[in-house]
Amino acid sequence: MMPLLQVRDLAIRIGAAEPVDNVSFDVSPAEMLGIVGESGSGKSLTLRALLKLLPAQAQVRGTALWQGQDLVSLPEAEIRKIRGRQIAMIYQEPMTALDPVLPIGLQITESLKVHLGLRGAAARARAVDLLDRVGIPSAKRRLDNYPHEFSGGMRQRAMIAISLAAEPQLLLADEPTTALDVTIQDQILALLQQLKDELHMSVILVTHDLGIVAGTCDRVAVMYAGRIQESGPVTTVFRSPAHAYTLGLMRSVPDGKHARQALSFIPGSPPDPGAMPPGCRFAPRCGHATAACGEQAPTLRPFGADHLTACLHADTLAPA
Amino acid sequence: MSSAAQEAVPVLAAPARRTFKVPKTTLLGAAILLLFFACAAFPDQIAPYAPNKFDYRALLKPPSAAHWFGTDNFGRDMLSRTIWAARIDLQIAVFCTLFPAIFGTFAGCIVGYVGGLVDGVFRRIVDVAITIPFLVLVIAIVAVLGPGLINMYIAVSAVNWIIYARLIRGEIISQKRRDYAAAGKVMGYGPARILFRHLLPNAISPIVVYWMTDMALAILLGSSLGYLGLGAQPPTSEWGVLIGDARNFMTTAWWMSIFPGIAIVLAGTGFSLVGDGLAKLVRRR
Repeated sequence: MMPLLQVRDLAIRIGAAEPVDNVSFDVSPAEMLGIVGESGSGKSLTLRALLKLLPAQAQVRGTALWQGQDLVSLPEAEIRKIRGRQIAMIYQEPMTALDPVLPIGLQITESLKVHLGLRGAAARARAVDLLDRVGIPSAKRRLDNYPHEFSGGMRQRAMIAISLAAEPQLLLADEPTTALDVTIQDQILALLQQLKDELHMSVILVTHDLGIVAGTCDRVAVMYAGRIQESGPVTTVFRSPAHAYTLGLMRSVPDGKHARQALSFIPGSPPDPGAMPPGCRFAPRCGHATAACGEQAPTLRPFGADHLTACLHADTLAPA
Repeated sequence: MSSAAQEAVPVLAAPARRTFKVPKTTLLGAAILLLFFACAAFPDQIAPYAPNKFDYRALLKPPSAAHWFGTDNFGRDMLSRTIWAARIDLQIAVFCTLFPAIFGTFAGCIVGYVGGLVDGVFRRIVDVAITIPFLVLVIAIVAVLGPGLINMYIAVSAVNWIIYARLIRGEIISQKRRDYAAAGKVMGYGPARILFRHLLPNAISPIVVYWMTDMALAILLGSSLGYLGLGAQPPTSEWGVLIGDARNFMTTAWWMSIFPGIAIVLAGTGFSLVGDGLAKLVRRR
């Protein structure tokens, strides 16, 4: 199947630092791709680079092929037509991402007007429909509420409704549930999955929570220090991780089997983006590292069907 | 069923809209302004005499039942003149601030949103403009253009917009860093839509509050210029002009200057109290 979005060798340079380097991935239609990594691994930067939302001093290289156009080299006026219309984005702070002085309904109809040219009663009816769809009860009455009258979860729902107004083919979700309670998190993720299926929309879900990826995504890309270390179908990657970093991450998630035992963790901290180690960027913290790991930067190589890894010792890693 | 259980029911009801209790001082201010606006709108029905009618049988009369505020050196009724002057002074309050508020807000929005070189140039203009005392600058411009109300409006407008622009610029700069501004960009909205539809409504409240205060300042300025003979010209009734006319009779006919003076103070107080109330309302949100 022809991928919807094809990202190749994406690199972001800010001053002397290169927080994102050599990132490549595909997103297929109606697929939910999880990008997982620690804070500072460059996952949010990657998302923002796709819509050219980075500050001017960030230099972006590489290509991101979207319907025959390269998003990276597209001029601002052209990318604006894609933003919100074809590729929408929701993010961490549903508390502040809504305009505080406009009613929710107006913010939805605004998107409908700008992107679809829908106005008046038709736009209002569609707005009710959208709020209904994202699971806001008595949507018609809620249309005239202001964001401060909504709870956090409701605001994220409203945010999703606004993003969906123009029926985008791709939704970029940047830690959409981090600021929410666990129960609400679950509802929002279920909602995203349901919308993905109903609207045949692709989603890139950026998160630092492995559990979220395991529960909702079709494919996963594990990022560390600005590079994708491993990618593949969620079931494959979680059943047989082929990168020492993925393995370390999974071991640091508490589970029932090892209840009441000390939780294992990855020693050390991620490298400074201005002074990345040569070779494998995870090598300094890796228990499996050998001399070869520190010499040459490993590239992603196939490891089984549809499974890529950048780890030299993928074969010798014990299955989790 | 206990009363506590009955009281618990409203918690489940829809979130109540915030209500705002208007402070008494604001009501007082509004009442004062209402009085002056009534005077300005219907002076011919409220004033007992025509404002410029001479009466040589009643020159420089102190306040009495016939002339509550006394009469001036031409026998004109001071109450009627003070009432008619409300029309001119409120006109000053509006016309001296309307253009600055609108243009200044617009300019400040652009400057704050665009930033960079545009902002740099604007800040130099502000630096220069606020170095020169406001009144001196206005008097200098009026001196060049010639005295009169229209020229006074032009002079004040030419200087005053900078204050509004500076006020909204800071607000816009702080608002444009907020998440909802970024969200607008993500939604593919153009800069004009983000600026005027989303940032401006969020940033406008200090402008509204300052506008009220500025109307009080404009009345003070207008009457100062009227007093100096640079604003409204006699025989037009304007509080500053009235006080200017009374200059020579300060010791013999105190009523000629005191009542227009009280009117100025009252009008200024009215605008300030309403401005305060607005500021409180805005801060609550």
